[in-house]
Amino acid sequence: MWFIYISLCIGILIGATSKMNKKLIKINDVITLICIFALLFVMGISIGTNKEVINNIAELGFVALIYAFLAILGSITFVYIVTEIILRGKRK
Amino acid sequence: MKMTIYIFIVVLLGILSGYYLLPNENLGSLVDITLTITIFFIGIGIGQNKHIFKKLKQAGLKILVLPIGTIIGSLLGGLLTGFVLERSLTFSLAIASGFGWYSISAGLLLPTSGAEIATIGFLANVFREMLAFLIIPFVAKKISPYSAISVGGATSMDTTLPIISQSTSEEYALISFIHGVLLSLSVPIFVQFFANL
Repeated sequence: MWFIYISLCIGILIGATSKMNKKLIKINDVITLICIFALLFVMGISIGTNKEVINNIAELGFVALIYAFLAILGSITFVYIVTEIILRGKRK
Repeated sequence: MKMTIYIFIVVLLGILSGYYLLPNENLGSLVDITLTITIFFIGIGIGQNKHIFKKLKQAGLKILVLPIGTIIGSLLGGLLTGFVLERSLTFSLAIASGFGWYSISAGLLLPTSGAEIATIGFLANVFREMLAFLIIPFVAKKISPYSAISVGGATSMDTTLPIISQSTSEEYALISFIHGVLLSLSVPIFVQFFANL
């Protein structure tokens, strides 16, 4: 899905090169929020049409919780080790 | 927290409409289109923060240590989960690559990896954000402010930023913001890469 990157790059370029006032930034935030909700809704529909997923939702939820927990644990541990080594002394 | 509840309601409404109203529709291309438009506006928002680019230049390469640490740590956690639960390791890495950004990561997973992986990816990243709210104050106090920022993953630039800022100091809030931006930018790259392996 290369068009995702193109879309992101064009967006960043427009954002970085244009002078937007507070009102325009606010409008952009609102549009982004509406888009995210639209995306979540369409995704929900796709999930809902898949009976197998719906029937196993409790198990999938449990699996998801383990992913979340271990990803957080991994981040805490790894970041602690690297920052202690590389950024030592910079902590205030 | 309010936002999380709204998100759950919208997804639930979607699931119910998919289950009862449109059981035979294939909305794959609609997901793609919505995702592309959403990412475009998110890009504008990121580009607007011109001071990020300045700060990045000032801080130099050292500022990359933290986001790279979060990425590697999260991926290791994903791999470990894959081993423990005996699930596909590439999909595990793709799920962990959401770094807490559930909307975009699940949107990316749906067309490439199917509804089951996308559902796990969505829930895992929602849970990451919720757990982050709960444990960031503790991690900031007892372990290190950098670890506290890493818990938030991509959300350290928006939803978890207030808690990080509260539990650390203003200086760390800026680091947290830059960390979140870099993590967010890496989500599409890593999710796509692992989902297509």
